[in-house]
Amino acid sequence: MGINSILDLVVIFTKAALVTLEVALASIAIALVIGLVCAIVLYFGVPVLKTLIRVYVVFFRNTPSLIQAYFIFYGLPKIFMVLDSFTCSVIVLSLLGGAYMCEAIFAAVKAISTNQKELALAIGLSKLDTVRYLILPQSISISIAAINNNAIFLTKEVSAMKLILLPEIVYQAFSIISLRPDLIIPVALFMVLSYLVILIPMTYAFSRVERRIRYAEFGN
Amino acid sequence: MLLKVQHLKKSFDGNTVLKDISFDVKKGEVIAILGRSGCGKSTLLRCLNGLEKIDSGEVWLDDALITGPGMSYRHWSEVRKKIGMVFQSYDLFPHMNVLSNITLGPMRVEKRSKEEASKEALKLLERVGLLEKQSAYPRELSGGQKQRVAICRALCMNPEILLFDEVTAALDPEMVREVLDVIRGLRDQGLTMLIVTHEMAFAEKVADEIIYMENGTIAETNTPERFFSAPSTVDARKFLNLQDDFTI
Repeated sequence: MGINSILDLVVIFTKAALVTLEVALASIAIALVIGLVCAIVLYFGVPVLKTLIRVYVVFFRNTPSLIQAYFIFYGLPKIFMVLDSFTCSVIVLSLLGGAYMCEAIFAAVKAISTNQKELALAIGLSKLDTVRYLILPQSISISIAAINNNAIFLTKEVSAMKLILLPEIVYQAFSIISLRPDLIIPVALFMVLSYLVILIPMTYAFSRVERRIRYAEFGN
Repeated sequence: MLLKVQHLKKSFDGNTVLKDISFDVKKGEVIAILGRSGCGKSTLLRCLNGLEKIDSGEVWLDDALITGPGMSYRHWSEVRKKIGMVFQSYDLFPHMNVLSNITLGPMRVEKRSKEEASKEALKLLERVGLLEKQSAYPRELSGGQKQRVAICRALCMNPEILLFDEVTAALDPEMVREVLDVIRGLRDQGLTMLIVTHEMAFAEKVADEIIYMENGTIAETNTPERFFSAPSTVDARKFLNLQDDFTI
């Protein structure tokens, strides 16, 4: 890796930051879908699925993501197929994030009063409509802060994917330092800077979304 | 006969709450159900709206059996279009404004168009004096206003019978009045209603018939005049005296 100027570092870290951002955004989106679906299944209490989801959530919340990544990156090829590190990272983080999102959203679902659920019954609303018009919009606005937290957590968790060779920020930083130990200080600075460049706008955008959703749902 | 209840029984964990309840409701009739807390009044209403599964007995609506031994509760969504209910805990859907709260049922359950449902909702809001609150969110309303919106929400489904479960119990006196005025207006329009209440003076004025419940049974069915002047059971006499003590 020939690094002759600051500009080379800028190029490397811009690319790495883009990889981090892509993996993060894809995982956040998929994790949200997984979380929503799981929370709804838990709400309906679907017999076998309910238990499967419980097991899934316990498993993914209580093991480090890097072990999950190892299993999927090195284990999956033995039984299924070889996946590139990008796909693998998205799978791992989506499953990890899905477990967290499920917990956050289901907690919000439980927070909606039984009075409201009875009311929905009393006006003849079907179970599906109850979920669509009452449970989902309210649980999302109740859990939006937790969802945002999970999203930021997932973005930082992309760094663990360096172990399955995803060319993200930390992976690149470590590779450079291993070849050019003299660059440790500028590289460390770039590494931190890359995260801030991604996460500060992201948290700002999330807080905007948070405010807008809460306003739309409750008028405050 | 609009609603026929026959030998209805209900228990919770071996504790019998309703023991053999039978009564009829004619179209346009207003029945007030009175009795001490815990006598089974609310449970009775909840059974009539399918919120509680009954143990035995039959309930007929418009000569169709709506609940009976071994019947599933799948058809209840249909039944609930005809039997509206207003609860004590004036809960509106907090994330929807007043108009959407009222039109959700008509649009989703009866598949009416938004325009048509809104038009009717606005008419109802005007009738209860809350037209200007149509875009307000529930948190911006007082308890009495919320309860009036809740009544509109039940009315907008055009029910054949409306059940009121202590709808003024959680309101302060001034708000009680505005809600009772609305109910009185509904009676004048000929709506069939079953009203569980602790407002004795109101029950006396508004009801065609009083059902007095005691320990999960109907102890007395009478006209308001006779019930309030000369109740036939000792328990009812005690109950009314107790009420008098409170009104002094």
